[in-house]
Amino acid sequence: MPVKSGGIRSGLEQAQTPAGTTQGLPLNGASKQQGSGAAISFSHVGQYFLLREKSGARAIEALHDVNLEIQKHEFVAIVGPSGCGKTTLLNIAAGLVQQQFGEARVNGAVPQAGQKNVAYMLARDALLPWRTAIRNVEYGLELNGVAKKERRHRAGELLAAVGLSGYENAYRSQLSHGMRQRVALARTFALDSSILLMDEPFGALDSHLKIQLGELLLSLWEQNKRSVMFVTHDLHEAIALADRVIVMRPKPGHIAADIPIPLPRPRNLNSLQVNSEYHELYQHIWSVMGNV
Amino acid sequence: MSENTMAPVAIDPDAWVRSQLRAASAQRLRHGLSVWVLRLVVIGGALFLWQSLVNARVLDPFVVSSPQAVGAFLLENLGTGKFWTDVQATVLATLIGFVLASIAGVVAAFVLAQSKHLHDVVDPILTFFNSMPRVAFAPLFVVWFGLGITSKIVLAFSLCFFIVLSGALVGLTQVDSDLNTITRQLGANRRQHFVKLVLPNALPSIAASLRLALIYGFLAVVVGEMIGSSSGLGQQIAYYSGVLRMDAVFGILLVLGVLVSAAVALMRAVENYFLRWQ
Ligand SMILES: Nc1ncnc2c1ncn2[C@@H]1O[C@H](COP(=O)(O)OP(=O)(O)O)[C@@H](O)[C@H]1O
Ligand SMILES: [Mg+2]
Repeated sequence: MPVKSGGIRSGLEQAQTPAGTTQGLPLNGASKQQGSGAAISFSHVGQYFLLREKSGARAIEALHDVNLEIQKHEFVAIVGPSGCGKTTLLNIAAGLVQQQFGEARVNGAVPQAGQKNVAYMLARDALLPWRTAIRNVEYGLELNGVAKKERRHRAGELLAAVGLSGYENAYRSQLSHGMRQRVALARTFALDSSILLMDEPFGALDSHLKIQLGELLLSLWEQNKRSVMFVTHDLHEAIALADRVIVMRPKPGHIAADIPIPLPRPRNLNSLQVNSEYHELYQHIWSVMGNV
Repeated sequence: MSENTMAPVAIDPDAWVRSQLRAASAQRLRHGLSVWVLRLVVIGGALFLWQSLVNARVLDPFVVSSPQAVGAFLLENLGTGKFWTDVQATVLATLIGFVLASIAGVVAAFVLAQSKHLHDVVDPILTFFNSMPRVAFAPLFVVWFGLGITSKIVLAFSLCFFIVLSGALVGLTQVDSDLNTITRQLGANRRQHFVKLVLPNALPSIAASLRLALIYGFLAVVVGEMIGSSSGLGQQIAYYSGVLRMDAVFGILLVLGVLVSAAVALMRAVENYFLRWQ
């Protein structure tokens, strides 16, 4: 059982916003006073999993004393080798895994699967194959009872924003990898959730598409800054996109370093490739990753 | 204006697309035509061989009949009221058994899909019933339910039900875990989760099991009619076999084959429309 010590906040439930209303926070100063707490916070989070082997069962410590705060409007990337607990940490924020130790809060509340202020994106597109592109984008709006005309309109705008106008009625089987991931990205943005949880969303794409979709993500994010927790094993991608890079290490999964990325915004991912500061940051973090 | 300056080679893209589409549809037509011609050649060749062997007295027409005799039987009988009454009896029993079993099978699968516990309890029992050659129940059902249509419906039901149940169960329980996660994460409630994810996900395997069930439904009814019946094509087959009228047996089998193929083709067409995303 996780210890409850959240004080005032632990009693707060998810704010139930009427479906279809915009939840993104305004970009002016007003949001600062309102958002005194972090968007996502982990304190002393620990997690074990049971691993069964031929020789017998043993415990795997997937996360060990993880402390992390992601502020409102902040873009945080989590990097680390496979198996260091990145997905587990993300799933705790998503409410899909209940941590065994410590506390997790999303907008001050205990994470719950299906919370409307959180959008979730995976490495696999997870599009419903029997739905057309536009109906996949509007899936979340439909589940939340948004009227057909309104959600169609919104989904159409988002498809255009990810460069897929003209493909509204294409099924998943008719789209390329990159296009599917664009549709998934549009679906992620459709509900206007204030928090985005992304688990290697571009991990299955080639490097060119990765940069393209990274740019797209940044441009959507610049329009309406959400808090982003972006898991990746690609350090280049992490530095290019994030305000802060969290380095995780395995056995047990823990946070090894927390490095701010002072590159100016808005960023152009193509010109970053020849930016010396970017490469210095890369070398710095790379050495940190190797040393801890 | 820009078109003129940009295209030094005069290609009208619209005309090019049209010509490509024309070429593709001509190609499709040629392919379809050649497939049909060859198909008719194969069938015609087989019939010709059969007839020639009978004419040459290599095969005994009393045992294997001949295409000519089968044709004559069909010509004589296809127009009669008696024949159509039998067709009707067989088709009706099949359809009733099939439809009832399909509904019951899908509902039962839905119930079992709700609880892994219940599923685990009944799974080996279902496998046991499914592995029994259930047409062997035909005599029993005739004793229990009489010579009329009821015993055939029950037999068809008992075959179709388990086919649909196991097909639907596979479909309803095998949902991709990422689709599950995303659907939950987007805020689906239990009903939406079922209606918008689980059910459409199960449709291809349900459709496949329905097609199989329809074929087995016909099989069950015909066998039932052969064992004991007052009407139906199966009863006709049993009768004509008894009096060694091979032309009639083959003729009726031909009609049954056409009926079942047509029914399956119809189901495929419906399926292709609803599952066009595949
Ligand atoms: N549901 C689970 N059951 C058992 N072990 C798990 C489960 N989820 C994760 N693990 C284990 O926890 C560790 C961290 O996994 P994960 O969070 O997926 O790492 P990452 O996303 O960084 O690759 C791994 O050793 C993995 O095998
Ligand atoms: Mg992972």
